[in-house]
Amino acid sequence: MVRFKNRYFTAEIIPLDNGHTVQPLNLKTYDILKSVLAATEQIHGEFGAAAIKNGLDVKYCNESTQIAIIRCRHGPHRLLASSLPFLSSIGKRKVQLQSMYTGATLVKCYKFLKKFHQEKMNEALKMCRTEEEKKKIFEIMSKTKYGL
Amino acid sequence: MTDNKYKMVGNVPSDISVVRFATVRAQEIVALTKMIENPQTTKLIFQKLPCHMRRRAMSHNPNRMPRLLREAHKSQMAKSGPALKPKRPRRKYRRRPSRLLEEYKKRSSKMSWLETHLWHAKRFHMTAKWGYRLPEKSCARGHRFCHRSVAEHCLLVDISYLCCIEIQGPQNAIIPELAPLCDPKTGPTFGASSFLNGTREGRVTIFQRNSFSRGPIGLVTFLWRHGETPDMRTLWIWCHPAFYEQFLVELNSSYGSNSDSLIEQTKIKITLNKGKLNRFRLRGPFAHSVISNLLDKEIRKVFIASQSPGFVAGVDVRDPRMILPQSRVKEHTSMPSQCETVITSRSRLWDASVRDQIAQVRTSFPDYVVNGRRSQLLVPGSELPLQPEEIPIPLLIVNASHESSDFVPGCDVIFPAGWATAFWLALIYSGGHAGGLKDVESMNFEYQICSDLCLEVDSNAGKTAAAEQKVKLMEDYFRKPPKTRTNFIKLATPFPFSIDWNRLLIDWGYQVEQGFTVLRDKKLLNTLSLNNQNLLSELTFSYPQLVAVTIRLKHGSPRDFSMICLPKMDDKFNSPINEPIHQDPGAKERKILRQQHSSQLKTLAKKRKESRSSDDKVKDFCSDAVIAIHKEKMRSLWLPPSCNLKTSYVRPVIGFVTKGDFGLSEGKGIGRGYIVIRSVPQISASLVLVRNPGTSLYMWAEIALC
Repeated sequence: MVRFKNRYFTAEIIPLDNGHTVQPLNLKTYDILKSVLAATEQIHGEFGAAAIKNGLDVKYCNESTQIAIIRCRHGPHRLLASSLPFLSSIGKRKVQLQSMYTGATLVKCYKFLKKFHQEKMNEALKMCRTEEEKKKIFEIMSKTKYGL
Repeated sequence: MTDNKYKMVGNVPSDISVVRFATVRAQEIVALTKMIENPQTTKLIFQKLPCHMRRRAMSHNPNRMPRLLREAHKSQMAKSGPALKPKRPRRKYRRRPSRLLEEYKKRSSKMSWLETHLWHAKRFHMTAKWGYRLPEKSCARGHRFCHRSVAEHCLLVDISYLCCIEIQGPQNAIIPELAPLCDPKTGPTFGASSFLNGTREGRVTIFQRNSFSRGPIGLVTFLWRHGETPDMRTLWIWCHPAFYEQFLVELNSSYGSNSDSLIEQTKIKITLNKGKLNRFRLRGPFAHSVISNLLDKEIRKVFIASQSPGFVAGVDVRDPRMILPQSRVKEHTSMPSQCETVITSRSRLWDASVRDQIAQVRTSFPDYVVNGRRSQLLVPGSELPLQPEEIPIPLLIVNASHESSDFVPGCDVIFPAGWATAFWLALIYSGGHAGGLKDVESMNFEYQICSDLCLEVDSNAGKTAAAEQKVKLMEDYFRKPPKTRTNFIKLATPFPFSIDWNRLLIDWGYQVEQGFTVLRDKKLLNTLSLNNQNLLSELTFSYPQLVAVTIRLKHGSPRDFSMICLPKMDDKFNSPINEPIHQDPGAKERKILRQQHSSQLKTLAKKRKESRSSDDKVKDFCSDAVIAIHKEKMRSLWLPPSCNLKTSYVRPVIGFVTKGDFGLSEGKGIGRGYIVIRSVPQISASLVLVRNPGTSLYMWAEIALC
């Protein structure tokens, strides 16, 4: 009974062109997939793209937090990991992928993401300028605590 | 990730609102937490157990899992659909006596079973009637055998389904309340002196309170207790389960109308002894000798004198399981011819406490103990000597009374509940032949006895039974293909499935809004049978009444629903008279209707096909309603239309035969039926014509008022 081992790459998608979100970043899983395959073909050739294609999937994609989780088989994952920095565009937008974490299971990735978001929230608190905003953020944070 | 902070600042666009940022992140956190907590696993629960804790049985038995995982495992098992049907246990396990008992209790919870049900179920075809499962006819014995049992041996019927009502109180309080329920003209009633003593059983027709012109409720038999003082008497009334409810309502209205005050004043108590007593009926010349096998030797010697019709004898007998013969007796014991002493009518059976005590003995002294002791006897099959646990069981032996001109000797045995199988086996082994409902009906037809087990034609119970029979006969008729059905319209049969007495009476000029009755007044019946023109006045013919008659044919036999007709003045006796074939106007109509219906069905089918292919589900072209309407219409076209019974046929119809067959007791065709009272003076020389349903020949017959 062979076990299929996977690697899940959590990456943050940073749009390069306009820092003012005039056009909302339209993240589609199909676009990410295509661009990942194109980047791998660019770096590692046909062999690279073919090795990765079986088992390649975008398991999680969130536009508002700009995070995507890409799955790959264990083995060819190193090819994918080495070609991710060279990914320059998704669809029509120029982006930069910053990979944060590589997990062997999706649950581990989620756990990491949760910790990541919590840290972000703490820093948002520090960045607040007005008292009102601080109060609101405290409210939201307490809600999540209860939701936990 | 050294420039983490730097990069982060760069990530956030300059005009982002912190609050929006925070809310989105908060939602994310909640969603992620949910996903972490409920992981979508593809593994089954038992795969999470370590290998050394897994068991083979846990695939079908969740109790083999650790407790914490049991619920999850059960829910997963439930998802894969319903489990396999549990294996049916093997025959030996199913037939263990304790499990059999459970099974029988389950079956008998819906329908009441008689105590002798198991014995009958193995040998009889059973039916469900009046809330009971009753034996209908024997699997092995035929109709003629059962008739011979009544005529020459002894027929044994279990009639424990009759319901007993006990009324206790002062005599002059009970009788006046029961008086409005019965008509003194039909015969002696509850208070008649011959029955008050308690030495005879009486029978009386009960009606609804003070309305003797409407139909009766039914025939009941009653028994007073012997040896009591007039201020505290007990009366037992036995009535048929078909009208038991109606009778109870009448009694309650008699005794409960002035409700509590009356009961307190007069201290009348009504108890329903529905399941507490058993009753067997024996009819036939050897009935008494079969019964005497149950009795002790001394009582047997004096039994002969207590055999007058209607007499009640109370005896104490031994437990019948002790004296059961080893094999069935075919020859009958001869009885001593004469003696003087009469057995007393007093019995301990009337005491409820005695009955309960005796019912208890059945469980405290079980069958297997008795059988064990019998097997240790020196001479196999002989009587067991008196055992210490035995109690003498009180019986009431009620002899058959004169019901009609034929007298069939016999008796009824009444005994406490719980002992039916023991007594039944003892009686069967002593030479009784078991019978069912069909044999009771045949006894009523041949000899006109056992009328308390049959329903009156003008009572509600009788009408319900007739309606049920009509439905059954109609279903049988319409199940046949049209070509093989007898065409009752052409053969001029007005009522092939049930008789509409109202129609008959209307045609003879009566108004039947109140309903009709059967004439039961004894004096009037006598004068009618004498047929003396002077004594009969027009008053007797003003009420819509029917008279019970018997017709006898020399050749041939009448059937159920045959027509009794009046011959014309100049008809010679034994001349052949035929009814010509009537026109059937319905035949053309039926043909057209059939063609129309089939074309209609075809168009509906076409429309359905079209709507299916065009997927335009606007209308549903279902042909169910059309088929139902057509069926009703066709059935009504096959049934004969209602017509004037006096004028539509060659000879006027005066009545109908309710039960007609070849009478084995007389050796010729007999019919028991009813005729309109107005036609009685018009019958000359007691000769009438009879025409069977579906035939055209009029047969000559002799008529007699019974």
